[in-house]
Amino acid sequence: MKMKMKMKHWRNFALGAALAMTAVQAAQAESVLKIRDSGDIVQIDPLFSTAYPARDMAYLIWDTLFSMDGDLVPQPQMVGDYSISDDKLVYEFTLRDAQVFHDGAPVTSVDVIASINRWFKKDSLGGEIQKRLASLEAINENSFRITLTEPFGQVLNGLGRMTAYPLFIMPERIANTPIGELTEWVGSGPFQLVEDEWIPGVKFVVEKNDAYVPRTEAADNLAGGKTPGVDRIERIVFPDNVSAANALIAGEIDYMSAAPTEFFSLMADAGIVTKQLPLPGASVQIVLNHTIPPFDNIKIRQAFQYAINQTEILTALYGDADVWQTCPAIFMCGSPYETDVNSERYMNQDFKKARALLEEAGYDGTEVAYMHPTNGRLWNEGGTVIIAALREAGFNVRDDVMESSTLFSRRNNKGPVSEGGWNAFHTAFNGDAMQDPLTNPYVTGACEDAFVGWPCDDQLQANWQEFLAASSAEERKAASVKIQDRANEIVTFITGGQFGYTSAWSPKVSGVVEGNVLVYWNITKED
Amino acid sequence: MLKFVLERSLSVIPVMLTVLFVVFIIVHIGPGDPAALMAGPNANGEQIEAIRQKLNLDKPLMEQFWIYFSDVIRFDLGRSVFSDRPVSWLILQRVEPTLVLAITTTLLSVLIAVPAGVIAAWRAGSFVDRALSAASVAGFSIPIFVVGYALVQVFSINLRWFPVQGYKPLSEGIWACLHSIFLPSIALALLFSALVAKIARASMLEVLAEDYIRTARAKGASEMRVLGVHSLKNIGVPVVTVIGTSFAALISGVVITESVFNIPGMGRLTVDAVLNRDYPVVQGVMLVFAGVLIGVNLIVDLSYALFDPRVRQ
Repeated sequence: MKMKMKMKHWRNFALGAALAMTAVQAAQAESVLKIRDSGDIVQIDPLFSTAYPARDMAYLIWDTLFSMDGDLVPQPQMVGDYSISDDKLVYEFTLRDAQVFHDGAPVTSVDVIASINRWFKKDSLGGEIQKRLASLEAINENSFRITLTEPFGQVLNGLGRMTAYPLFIMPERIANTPIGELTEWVGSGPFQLVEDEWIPGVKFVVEKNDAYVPRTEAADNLAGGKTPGVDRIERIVFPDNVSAANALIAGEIDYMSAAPTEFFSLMADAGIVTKQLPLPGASVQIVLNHTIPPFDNIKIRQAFQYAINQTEILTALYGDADVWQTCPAIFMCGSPYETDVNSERYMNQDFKKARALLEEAGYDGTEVAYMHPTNGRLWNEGGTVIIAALREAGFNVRDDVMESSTLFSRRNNKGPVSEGGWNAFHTAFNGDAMQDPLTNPYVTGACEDAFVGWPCDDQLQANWQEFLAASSAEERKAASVKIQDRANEIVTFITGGQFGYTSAWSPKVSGVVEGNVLVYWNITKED
Repeated sequence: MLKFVLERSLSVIPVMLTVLFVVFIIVHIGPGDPAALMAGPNANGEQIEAIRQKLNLDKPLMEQFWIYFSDVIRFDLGRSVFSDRPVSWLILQRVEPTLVLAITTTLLSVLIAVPAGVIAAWRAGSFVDRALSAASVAGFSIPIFVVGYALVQVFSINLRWFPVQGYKPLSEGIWACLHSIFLPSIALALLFSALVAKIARASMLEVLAEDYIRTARAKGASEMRVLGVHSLKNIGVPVVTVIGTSFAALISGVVITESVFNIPGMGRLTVDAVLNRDYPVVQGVMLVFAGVLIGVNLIVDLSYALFDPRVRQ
């Protein structure tokens, strides 16, 4: 009896040990990619905010009907086959097989239609499609049809919109939720949210979606196969760049976006890969308020252009010339819409010409309230250089020192400076937004409806509409040149040059997709 | 004694109400707009206004205060305007790292500072005293982030003994937790032990000059007995006071250390909330900080009774 009991204990022990070993092996087998990206994710309704961190993570959770490839051409993603009628009025789409949401429900045309309708309410390009919409209907469970009232060459671009509000496909019940009130984050993308571990300000976690079937094409920007290469991605919030760089060097994290240039040599010593992403990173933009003096005068705005020296601004911001370049194009250098038309004034700093223009315009020394946040290199150093140049050019500048949240608020004030208004500031947008006239916020010329600064110009509006209506790449290119010509003539904004983001990753990591958006599919990690 | 505790506890109410009102007003009249920050860089005025309405930020200030006050007296601190999570939940996520860091730092500070202060006073004017004073000045003067980065470079990057960053919760084991919190605790302890050591030294110098110490020595008591039995208890009141104040400061004011070591504590929550103009979160953490400060002061006051029999009477 005693012997039997002993044997039983040993058997239980062996079984327990075997189970423990299996659990340990399973835990060891799980590959975790720890990343540090800038910013935090506090909400993740992709139609609520244009904040990049939320958008980038949304790409992991939700899938899109079309996706932009490296040439910014929309390619089918969730869509398998599609056709466009000869008169360009009817678009029919069939979804790829075997697509399911994270809750196990199949993706159907009903979900797609509800998601498109939600997107129509928010996105400007979606709104343009809706204006021309005759019907949006399901053909069957797997196919749907868009019928237009007039040909419109931007439908596929819209469905594959990369920014500001991409069209993500959600289950119908979620798509019917008012914007900003999502309580479920169920998509059909390659990863799914681990809701319990999402702590704003601390971390955001997604796990591999085992049911995801990627496309067979190679990943190309956002297009092609989105193969989840790791089991789990932990996006850790770091308030301090130096700590993040140290953590990468020590092997505590695997990937870091916007790595600080001063750490490159230390990172190289530790075998860390540093690479500037090849597509446009971001550009600096100087924004002028067209509605109040002195920049309600076109000649004074043009005088501002002569005061600018992109090299000085970018050197102040980033020092190392490897990460920036001067650029005459308002739609970014390296993009399909790059042109140098009408850029002579801001590409050739000339204080004499600036002063001459000010005199010609009858500038009376009206104070220029320049909003100058001091938190962050972009604003602080950039503002110091720009304000000094403006003063040298003959402007009477008031340096309104603040922090960036005040700028984001105050820039919406259309009133005079005495009532909290403003005259000028500078900021930066990512290249993915700036490189396309439909997402570049500065080129509509739409007066009250335009982006802050509120430039108002019939010709620019006509040029923008021409771009919108263009049906071929050539027509779009021609229209974009006209937009730049006019935008620079009336100075909707001044481009201060562009810079790239350098990502850094552990030598254990491979397969980084070098695209416009920081996405983490295809990445694998060695143990 | 009970009356004393009750009186002190009741005095919390007007203080907390004042904190509630003052923090609300300061937060709301400051520049910046959470709606603009929330909407993102591409948003236009109309989109920002829509968010402002959704958050009730378009309502008159007093109406907003009344809504907030009505919720708080029902122990509802509201929801974050950014993440839409309950403020109490956000605070709970951050309490443990801060509390563990504050406790370990306080313990380390006391272990370093009290013996150092006593020895410095005992050997006043000697090389040991001057060396400890110099170390104390250095502890005050070297910025905490310099100490932090230096510790990381040596012990994390070079020696790989401790992690560069992060916090392991107690649920993952006490040693894992202490291992993750060791370097930040040391960095903070260097600062706080300098403060405590100064007070301990000054208090001990006063005590050592008292008649009863001279009497004890005249009776042939050993120096260990003079220091440990006759003197140490009598520096308790000022030392405990400064430890209490330091502990309260550690709960609310270690944002630099939390940033350098990437510890997701209350300090970072506060700064993020202030920068984002996340009004309910700022108000919530300020109430918690006020509560902690009042609670610590109460405990410190009660502890006086341990050191000074006159208080007990």
